[in-house]
Order: sequence, then structure tokens, then C-alpha cells
Amino acid sequence: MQVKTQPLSVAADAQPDDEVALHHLKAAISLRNVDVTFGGEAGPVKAVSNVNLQLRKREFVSIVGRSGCGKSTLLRVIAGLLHPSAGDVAVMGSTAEEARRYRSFGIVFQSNVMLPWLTALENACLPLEIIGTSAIPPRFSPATLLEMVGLKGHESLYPRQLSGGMRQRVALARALSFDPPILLMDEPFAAVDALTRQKLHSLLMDICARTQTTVLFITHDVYEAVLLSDRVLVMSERPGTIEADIKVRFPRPRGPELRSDPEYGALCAQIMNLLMNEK
Amino acid sequence: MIAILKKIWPVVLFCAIWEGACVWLKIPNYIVPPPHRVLERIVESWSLLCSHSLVSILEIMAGFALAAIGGILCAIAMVHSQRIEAVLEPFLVVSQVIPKVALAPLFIIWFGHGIEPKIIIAALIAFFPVLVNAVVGLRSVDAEIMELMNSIAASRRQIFWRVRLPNSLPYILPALKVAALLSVVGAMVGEFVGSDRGLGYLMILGDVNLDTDLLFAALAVVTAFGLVIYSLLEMFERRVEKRYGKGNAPQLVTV
Repeated sequence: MQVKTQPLSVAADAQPDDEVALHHLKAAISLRNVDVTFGGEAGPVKAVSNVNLQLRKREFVSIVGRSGCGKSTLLRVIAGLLHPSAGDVAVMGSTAEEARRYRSFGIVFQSNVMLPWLTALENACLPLEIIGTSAIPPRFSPATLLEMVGLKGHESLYPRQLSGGMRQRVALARALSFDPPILLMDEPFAAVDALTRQKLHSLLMDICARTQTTVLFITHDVYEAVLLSDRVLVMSERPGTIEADIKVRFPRPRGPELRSDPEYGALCAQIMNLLMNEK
Repeated sequence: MIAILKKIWPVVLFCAIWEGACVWLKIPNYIVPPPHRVLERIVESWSLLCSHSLVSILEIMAGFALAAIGGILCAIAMVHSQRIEAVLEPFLVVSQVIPKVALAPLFIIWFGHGIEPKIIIAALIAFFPVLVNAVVGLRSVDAEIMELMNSIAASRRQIFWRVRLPNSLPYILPALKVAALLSVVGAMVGEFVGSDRGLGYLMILGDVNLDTDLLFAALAVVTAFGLVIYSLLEMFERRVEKRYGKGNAPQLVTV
């Protein structure tokens, strides 16, 4: 069920539910009628129900929803880490499982765990080490990589010597190190303070403009979602399903000054309402 | 020098009280010899103690090495395959419950009075702390790191060498420390039960001849040796901890 919404800078998304197969293949990420059911002791629990979504290449899409609504589950389905109980997942024209093996995903989690025995640089380059650089030379040199996330000069620090914000930067560099076409971010900035988060927002938008990466961003912070995204998907709770699909048409580059724009405020309020009003 | 003194002054004080008590209370030497007498005896019987020490040291080292290598390899196998784990699990639980010291006479019957049964007892006693801690260390990899590795299609071998094994080091090293001391216990028990060589044999010899000086001298040598192994492993552990972080494995000790 899609809620049609039409505020000033927002148009309801025009995609019909019955997407043609061609679009399914051409999209960066495409989910059709995806269900995820977990078998629990008290019977099966449907975590995600009938989700349809499409991300075009280079699009930045956020999914907002309350905690426990299944948004992280959805991210794991897309990453090929979890099999959906029903429905189709296509990533860059292949299955999620194939896309995972083609190394299509850079993932950033909320608690950005590092290997404590590796330096910031070694942690950031860990995926490159695993994948091996013999076949395709990496797009970014390790030095450029850390410079991109603003960690130049901190290459040889160990995780315990890094602040929360710096660790997020390393995690971002780690996800970008092998230049994946898709970046999956699971509440990446939920654990950092507001000021650091603002800096990280600008950094992420700069990097996306530079790398042209498709981003799926999971968050419960509506303001963050609207600031960063081209589109915001509102997810309802238990079972999680996409309730609304809202276009965000503020011009880029966007900066913190957008926060004082009344249209921005109105749009955030509208999305908040959608989240608050669900049963 | 002052730093060492700061650390061992309680021991020095204890020895002084011991010495004093022996003199004032006129405790006969065959009950408790004073510390200076133990030192004298160590010097007098130096070559005897040395030759018997070598046997014990060989047993302890071999037992420890077997336990360490066997424990780690077993843990790797169990973490690698659920089937292997299912097969080994009941045996491990039972062997935890069996007092391994009580098996010593059996090994003497099977393997004779040489060093082999002592090595086996030492290894058996020291094996379990290594195994249990290594399993916990290899398993306790953060779930998100595993997802990250899977998301870039890392192979099991890559995950093992790059994540699991380094992650388990802070868990394995404290276990090795415990295992080293347990293998000393194992070797001594083996020698008590039946032997004609080793420090444990000297202790029994001192006991039956009421040569309490000799018993204490052998005890002092074993203790000194245990301290040396322990401090070496602790130094190593600190270096590993500095780099690989601190583990919080259960410290399992069964004798």
C-alpha cells in the first residue's frame, strides 16, 4: 500500500507495483514482493512483508523506520547475507548472491567494528587484501582512500586510539576501498555525537558526488534521511513494509544551511507524521 | 634491583619468620628445615638435583608442547566442522569430569616407569584449558566482522588466518600460562606414582628416608622452575595483549 503525498518539493513516486522485468534487471537494486520470515520458538515471525523497491544507479535512497521494523533485515537481504522467504532480489542485473561474489557491496554498520591488531590504514584496506589487487588495480591508492575520508596523517593509529567519528571514517574508507558500485549503510551515524554527525554527512555527500556510488542508507533519523537522500522510503513496523516513497528535490550540493529551509522542515514533519501515525 | 625487592619483600619477610620460628621453637630439621638449611642442601646436592631436574624439565616441556599443539589443533577442528564438534563434545565433557590425576597409575601400568607416562599425564592435565579457551577465542569473532567478510565473499581460509586466529590469541595465551603450570603438576604426579628419576622421585625419596632437607630442596627447585615458565609466558602474553587486545575467556582449570 503506497501513500500518495504531494507537498511543495515532493512528488509521489510513480512506480506501479507490477514493475516490468526489464526494469528489474536495469536497476542498481530491485526488490519484488520480498518477504522475510524468521522461524522462532513461538512460531514463524514475519519480519519483512511484500517489499517492492528500486534504486537507480547513482541514486541515494534512505529507508526510515522505527527500530525493529525490519530495515536492517532488508539490508542483509540485499547484501546476499540473508535469503528472502519469498520474492525476487536483483542487484546490477544478477542475484544478490552473485552480486556479493562479484564484490558489489561496501557495507558500513552502526558499530563499526575494526580488527584491533590492524592500524587504521590496514583496517581500511582489509577488503583489498582479501579480494587481492592482482586482477584489477584498485581505483584509489590506500593514501588517497584515507585522504578522502579526512584521515590523512592518522594512517598508523590503532582502533583504540581513534575517536568514534574517526572510526566511522575508517569504516567508510573500508567500504569504499574496493570501489564497489553499491554502498549499504546501516544506521552508520547513530552512535556519534551531533556535531561529528554533521561533519560525516558532508563528507558522505562529497564522497558520493565523487565516486558516483549508489547508496542505500538505513536510519531512524528523519532529518538525516531528508538531508542526504534523493528519495526517502518510509517503512512500517511488524511486518515491515514500505509505506511511502517520497522524492526529495533539494538541489545539490546540500549543506547544513538546508536545515533552516522551511520546505526542509515541512518535509521532515510530513515524514515524521507518517512514522508516528502508523498503528 | 629495588624494583625486584619491592615485589618480593613479603617472601623475604616470610622466610625470615620461618627461619626465626625454626630457631626459637626448636623445630627439628626432619619436620621443617629452616630456609638456610634448604639453600645449603641445594648447594650440597647440586649435581644430584641437576640431573633429576633435567628429566622433569623434559617431561614438563614435552607434556606442555603436546597439550598446547593438540589443544589448539583440536579447537580449530571443532570450530571448523560441526560434525567433528558433535563427535568430540561428549568425550570432552566426560574427560573434564574424570580426575585425570587418578589415571596416573593406569599409565604407569601401560607405559612403564620411563618418562612417557609422565609426559602423557602432564599433557592430559594441561590440554583442556588450552582447548576450551582456544574454542572460545576462535568463536568469539564479532558478528558484524563476519558479515563484513562474507559481504566481500572472503573464503573460510581467509577468515581463519586474518580474523579468527589473531582474534583467539588473547584467549589462548592465558590458557597456555595455566597449562604450563598444570603440566608441572602432571609431571610431578606421574613421578610420585612410579619412577626412578626426576624431582618428584627425589621428593618421595626424601619422604621415605625422612630426609626432609632433600624434599624441600627439590620442592624449591620445582617452584623456581614453575616461576620461570610463568614469567616468560606472562611477558609474551603482555606483548600479545598490547597488539591483539584482551580476551575474556573462561579460565578453566581441572586437575
